[in-house]
Amino acid sequence: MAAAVIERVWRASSPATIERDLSDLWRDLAAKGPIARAIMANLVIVRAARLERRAGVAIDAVASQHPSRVIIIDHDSSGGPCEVRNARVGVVTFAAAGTGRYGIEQIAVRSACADESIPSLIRRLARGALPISVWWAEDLSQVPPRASIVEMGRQLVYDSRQWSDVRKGVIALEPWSHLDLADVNWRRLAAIRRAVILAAAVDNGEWHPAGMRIAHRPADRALAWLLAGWLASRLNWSAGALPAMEELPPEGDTVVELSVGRGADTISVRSDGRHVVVEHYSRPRSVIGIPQEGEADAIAAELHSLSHDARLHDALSALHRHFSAA
Amino acid sequence: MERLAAGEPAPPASDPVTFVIFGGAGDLAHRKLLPALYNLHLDGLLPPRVAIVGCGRSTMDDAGYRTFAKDGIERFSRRPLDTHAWETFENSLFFVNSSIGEDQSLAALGARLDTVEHELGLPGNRIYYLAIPPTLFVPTVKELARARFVNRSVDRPFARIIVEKPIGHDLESARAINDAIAAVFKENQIYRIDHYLGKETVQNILVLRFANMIFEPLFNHRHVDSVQITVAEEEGVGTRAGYYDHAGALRDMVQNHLLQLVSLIALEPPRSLDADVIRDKKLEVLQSLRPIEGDAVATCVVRAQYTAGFILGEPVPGYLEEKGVPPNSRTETFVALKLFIDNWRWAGVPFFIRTGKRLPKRASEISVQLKRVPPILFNANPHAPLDANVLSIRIQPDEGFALGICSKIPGPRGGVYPVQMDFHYGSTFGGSTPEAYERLLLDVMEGEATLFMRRDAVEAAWQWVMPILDYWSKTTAPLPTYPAGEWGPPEANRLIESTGREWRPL
Repeated sequence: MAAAVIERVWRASSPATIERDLSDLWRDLAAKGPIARAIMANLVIVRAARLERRAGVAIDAVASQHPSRVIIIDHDSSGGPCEVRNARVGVVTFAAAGTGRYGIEQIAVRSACADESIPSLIRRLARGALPISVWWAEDLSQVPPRASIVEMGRQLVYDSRQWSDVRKGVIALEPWSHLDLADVNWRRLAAIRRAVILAAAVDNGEWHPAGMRIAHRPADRALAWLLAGWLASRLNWSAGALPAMEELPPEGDTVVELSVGRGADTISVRSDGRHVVVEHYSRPRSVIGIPQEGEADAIAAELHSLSHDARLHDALSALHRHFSAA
Repeated sequence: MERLAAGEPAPPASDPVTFVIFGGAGDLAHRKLLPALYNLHLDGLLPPRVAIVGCGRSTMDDAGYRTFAKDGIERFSRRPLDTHAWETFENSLFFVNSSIGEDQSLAALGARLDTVEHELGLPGNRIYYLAIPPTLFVPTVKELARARFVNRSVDRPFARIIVEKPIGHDLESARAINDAIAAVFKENQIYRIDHYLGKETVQNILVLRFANMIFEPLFNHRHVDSVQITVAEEEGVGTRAGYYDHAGALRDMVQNHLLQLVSLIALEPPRSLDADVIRDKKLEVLQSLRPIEGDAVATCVVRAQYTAGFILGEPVPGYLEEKGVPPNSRTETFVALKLFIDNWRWAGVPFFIRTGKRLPKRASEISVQLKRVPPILFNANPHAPLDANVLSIRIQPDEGFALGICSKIPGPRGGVYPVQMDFHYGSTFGGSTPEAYERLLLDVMEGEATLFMRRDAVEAAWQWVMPILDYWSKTTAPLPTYPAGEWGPPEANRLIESTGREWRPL
């Protein structure tokens, strides 16, 4: 849960004086009363200048839960003269019960230089001793991450729910299989995966893709594909084989549903976004609650986890093989 | 009346002194020395009676020199000019036109010093600061002797000399300079300055190690995996191409600053804080460095030169495009190397050091990486090994140190995240931290030599780097390059990655 924002203070700066201006800002805030300078990581957000508003919504809420030096680079690649302009530094102050007042620092730079110049900004502005997480706030199936930026991070955070083309998204991620990938959508799949494991205990037989179907809301296409990739990787299906995918009408309350088997013997795993229900005629139905968390909560939780999620990587590899075979 | 002073702390630098700056109208005096002396004056740390006499080719008079000093203070002092403090400070400033190498070059200086000292009641204690090109060190010292400015046989009035690096271009020339100075000054009159040693964090290395129980038991091969020292400069060669192209990063940075840092972080506990006790311990480290000779240079040392790239998002030229750099120059602007200290404490622990120009940021740091915890309990997942604990000492900017430790993430699912216990000089102690030159100049006035390099240490450092320079002078292998704004060439990454480690990001 994000802490309440007490105050946002921004000041104009220049690239060369950012550190000094930030120090001055902290000193001025400290003069008003005790404040903790909270920082556990660097959070790098590179945005095409035209899209900045969309990604700006949740930054404070994310950083309040994962205190970071937030480095926002709004990149204008429209081909104007190369210059770094409109540098700003800011501190957002939060209050949270029991922890007093704490602040997180933000640096915003608008650059109109070549793509390859951006890493030099990040290298200069990142706090070296702390992990760098790159938050790709855009639809990476349409705007693929720049390799030179992604490679600077220890972790790449994204949300595959934004993908308009799952195939392109999976292919765009392939070069970074060595990084810690953190997909917020994969997090949404956690309860469903638990439920599927529960369902598998109902049926001791082999599950084959031909006998399975995944239905999903249009907005949760990527979630359905991740489920398919996870099943393929866990069950060692051959490259091209995945369950049939079916798109549901948008107005229903089913987010995603996995069906295994046919007729009365079908095992159903259905999520409505609040619960996942496992049903089979032979057993009482099982219900797994889905933690209700906002987008910022989910991103912050993923940022907390710097580990290499082998299951996600395996699922993506299976999908990559599927799309490559196709 | 002696009872008045009983129990009072000894006043700093109480001996009246005449401070003579050769190169008094130069860049170093303008940017560093005069602002440092002014700040000492602000803090009441200058002797009650003092004269600061600039000496150089410039034809300015005392008034001109005071204007020159005021400009330097206004632009480069860590604290703004205080009108009242300036009025008293400026009265101690004088300038004498003099050119070393000309007949009777110091005659005018001698006459002026006599006058100034007589007028101000100064007893003739003198500190000569050689803020001049190294080629003028020997002629100046000889001239000081010829003009009878130095008396080796008496302690009062004292004569001391401060020599800026670089001391020599190689071992032979360093010995020649040291011999020439030693013919005029005794070793305890000579202060070889390395401004890195005056930085608060560098001084804090000994405090950190020997005023705390937590670190010293860990500072050995049983607990330390490796040590990294980085001295990164964001600036290019700038206006120093003439000097730098003949020096290169190994001579300019490694032979002095970086090896001094190695010796401080690695020295054995000294039995006291006496200057020579500490300098003996530092020398032991330098003498324990495993030589890098012959083909080992190719595997343990990487040199490179920057090409055009980006700094802070904006394009900058490569080294060969810099003004004053020969187009075929093979001078290295970056050095990374792996060294070992062959003593009981550090046996087998690699020290990785790197320095360069046009790196992404100005940052100097020593990081001591401890060994990893065993692959059990919280470190059992081979896909997510825990970060090792790292003690990082930031020398500049934002002086301080941090200890990286692993902590549980709040919540029922746990998880471990690397967090920092971070200490910042600026925010902890408040105020502005004294510049290195302030401390060092004060030390010379007090006769305190701990933070200065002794002759044997300078020559031991040269002795260690000479095989590397010799190897480079014979090889025709292509010089690696790196784009400005990056952390050196790929070869530097391979140097450390071949040992299963990586450079710590700064």
